[in-house]
Amino acid sequence: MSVVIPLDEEQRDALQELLNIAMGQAANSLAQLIETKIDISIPKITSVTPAQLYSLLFGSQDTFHTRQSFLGDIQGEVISVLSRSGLSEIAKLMDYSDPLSKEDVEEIILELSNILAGACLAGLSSQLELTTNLNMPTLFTPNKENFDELKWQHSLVMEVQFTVAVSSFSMRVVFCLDDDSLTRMKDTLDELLD
Amino acid sequence: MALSVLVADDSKLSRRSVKKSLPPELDYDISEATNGQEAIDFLAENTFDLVLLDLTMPEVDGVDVLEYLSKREECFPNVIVISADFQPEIQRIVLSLGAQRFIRKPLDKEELAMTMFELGYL
Amino acid sequence: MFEQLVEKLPVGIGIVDENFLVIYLNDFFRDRLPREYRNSYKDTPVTDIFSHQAKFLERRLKSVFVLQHPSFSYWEQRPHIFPFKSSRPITGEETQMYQNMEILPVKDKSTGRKYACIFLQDVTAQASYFRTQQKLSAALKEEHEAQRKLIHKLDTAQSQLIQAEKMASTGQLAAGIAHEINNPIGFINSNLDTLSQYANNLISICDGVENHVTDFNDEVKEQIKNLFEAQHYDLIKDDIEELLEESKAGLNRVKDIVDNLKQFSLDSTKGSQIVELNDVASQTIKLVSTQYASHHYKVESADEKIEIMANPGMIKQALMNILLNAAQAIPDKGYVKLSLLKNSENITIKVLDSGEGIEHKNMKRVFEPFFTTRPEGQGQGLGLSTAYTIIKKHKGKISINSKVGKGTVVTIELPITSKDNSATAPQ
Repeated sequence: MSVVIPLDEEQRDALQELLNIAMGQAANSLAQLIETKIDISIPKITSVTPAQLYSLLFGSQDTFHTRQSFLGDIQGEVISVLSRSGLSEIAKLMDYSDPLSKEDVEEIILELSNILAGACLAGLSSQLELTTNLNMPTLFTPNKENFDELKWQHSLVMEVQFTVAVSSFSMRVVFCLDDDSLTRMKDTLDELLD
Repeated sequence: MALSVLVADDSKLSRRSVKKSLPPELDYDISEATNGQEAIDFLAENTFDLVLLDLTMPEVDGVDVLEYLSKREECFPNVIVISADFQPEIQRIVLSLGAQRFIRKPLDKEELAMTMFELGYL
Repeated sequence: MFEQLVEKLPVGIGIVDENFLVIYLNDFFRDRLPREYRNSYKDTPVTDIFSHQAKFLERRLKSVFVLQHPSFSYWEQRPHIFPFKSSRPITGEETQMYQNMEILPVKDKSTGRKYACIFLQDVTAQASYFRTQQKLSAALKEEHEAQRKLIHKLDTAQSQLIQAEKMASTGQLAAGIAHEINNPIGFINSNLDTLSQYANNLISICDGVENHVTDFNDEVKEQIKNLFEAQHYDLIKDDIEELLEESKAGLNRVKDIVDNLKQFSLDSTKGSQIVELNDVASQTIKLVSTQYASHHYKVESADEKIEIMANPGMIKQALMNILLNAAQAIPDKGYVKLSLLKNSENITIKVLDSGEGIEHKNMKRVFEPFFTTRPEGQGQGLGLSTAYTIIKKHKGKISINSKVGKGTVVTIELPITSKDNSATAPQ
C-alpha cells in the first residue's frame, strides 16, 4: 500500500525549477529539429489518486497517448498526451508529407514523445545527478477499469506542457514515480538545498 | 559602493543559486522579486545597477517585464536574462527588447562572471 | 574478444559518423549488403547504401546527432527500413524482414567525436505471430458477430411462433364464443323488432285514449288523467323509442364483434377467386377517405393489373382495417399512402401513415386480439389481429414498423399462386 510522501514547500519549489530547466532543454531540442518556437508551461506538481490520474490524462478528447517506462536511480513511467489538432502541421515540420497514414501518425507521436519526454527526463536526472534510462515509447490505449484496479492510492505526478507556437498542437508530459524513487528524489533535493 | 542588483525569479532555489553565483570580488545590495509583477514594482521605485531576470514566471513573465522597461521613458537598466528556455527564437526576442545578455539555466558561475566582466562590472 | 562478439551478434549493429558515413557494420549487416557495396561500404553514406528508406534514416540520424538522445522505430509503423529478406526465405510465410530499430548517440572518449550506433532487430517471427493472432481475432470477431445475428434471428422466430400460437388459440376461443353468442343475438334482434312494433301500438292506443278524453264524463276524465300522470306517460312515450334505438345500436356492435371474431375460424380458401388488388385498394381508400376527409390519400402501383387468388371479402376487410388504423392514427391532418409492388413471387402491399406511431412497448402486442390503446368503447382491438389472421390464412406475411411521432408502415407480403395451382391449393 502506498503512502504519498508530501514535499515541503522548498522541495516543491526546487523540483519545479529543475523541471523548468529540463523542459527548456527539451523544448530547445524539439525546436532545433522542427525549427519552430515551442512555448513551455510552468510545471505542475500534484498528488493524485488513480481516478484523478485517469481524468488528468484522459479527460480531454481528441488526444493520443504514449507511455514510456524508465529505470535506474529513479524509476517510474512517463505518459505523454498529444493533441490531435495541429499534428499534421508538426508532421510537415518533421518532413512527413500529406496525407498522413495511420502508421505515419503513430510514428510521429512516438517520436515526439521520445524526444520531449526523453529530453525532459534526461534534463531532470542529470541535474539531480541521478542516472535513468528511458525505454522505448509505446502507444497507450487506456481503460478506466484498469485504473480502478491500480494498487496505489496516491502518487506524485509532475506535469509539463509544450505548445507549438505556430500551430494548435500541444503536448503534456506526465511523470509518475514509484515510492522508492520519490524518497530518493526527496533526499537528493535536500542535498541540493543544503 | 555596493552594486545594487535585482534578482527576479519565481523559484527560491533559482534565486539562491543566482546569489551564490555572483562573483565574490564585489559587494552587492540585493533585492529579490518572486514574480514579474514584483519586479515591475521594484523597477518603478528604484534604479538598479544590474537586473538578473528569469523568463518563465506565472502571470507576468520576464518578457512582460522587458516590454514594460522598453516602453517607459527612463533609461533601460542592464538586464541579464537567465532562462531555462533558451530556444534561439526566445533569445532573439529578449535581446531585441533590450536585454544585454542571455544566459541559460542551469546557471554556470563562470559564465555569469564572464558576462559581468564583458559588461564592465569587473 | 568483444569485437568478435559484436561481429557475431544476431542483431544488426552499425556505426556512422556525423556525415552519416559508415564506420562499422557487423556480420548481420554485411551479410545483407547490396552486392555493389560488399567491398566498399566503409566511408560511404549509409543513406546511399540503403537508399530504400534514405529520407527516414537521414531524419532519424539527424535527430540523434542534434539531440544526443536515442531514437526508436517499430515494425508496426515502419516494418522494412532495410530491404532485407526474411531469415527464413524458404519456409517462412513472410518474404521481407520485419524490423525494430534503435539509434543511440555514442561519443569517442579519446577524440570527442560523435557517432550514431544503429541497432537492428529481426522481429519477423514476432510480427508474423502477431499478424496471425490479429487475423485470428478478426475471424473470431466475425464468427461471434454471425452467432449474435443468428441468436437474434432465433429470438425473433421464437417470439413470432409464440405470437402465432397466441393468435391461434385466442382466435379459436373467440370464434367459439362468437358462434355461441350468435344464436341469442338472433332472437334478441328479432324480439327487439317485435318489441318496437308493440311499443308503437301501445303508444297509439294511449294517444287514442288521450285524444278522446273529452268524450268521457268529468269523473272518468279525471281518473284517466290521474292514471296518465301517475305512470309518467309523457316521459315513457319520449324515452321508449330512444331506449329501443340504443339497444339496437348496441346489438349491432355486438354483431360486428362477433362477425370479426368469426374471421378467425373461416377457411380462406373457400370463396377464392381472382382478385385485382389495384381495384380493391382504390375502393377501400375511397371508403376510408370519405370517413376521414381531412387527410391526403394516395395509391401507388407498380403495375396496371395485380392479381392474386384470394377471398375478396377477406382481403378487403384486412386492408380496410389497416387503412382505418392509419387514418385514425393521425391526430389532425396527414397523409396515408398505399403502395403495391410486385415481383415474380410476391405482392407487397405497404400502408404508410404520418400518424402518432406506436410506442415501442406496444409493438409486440399490436396483433394481439382485443389489444387496443384507444379509450374503452372506441375500439375493439380486433382490427390488426383480424388482418393478421386473414393474411396468415392466405399464406402471407404481415409486419409493422413504427416511429413515435413520425408514423407507421404496415407491410403485407402475399405469395402469388397461379390460377392453375389454386384448384389444388390446400384446403
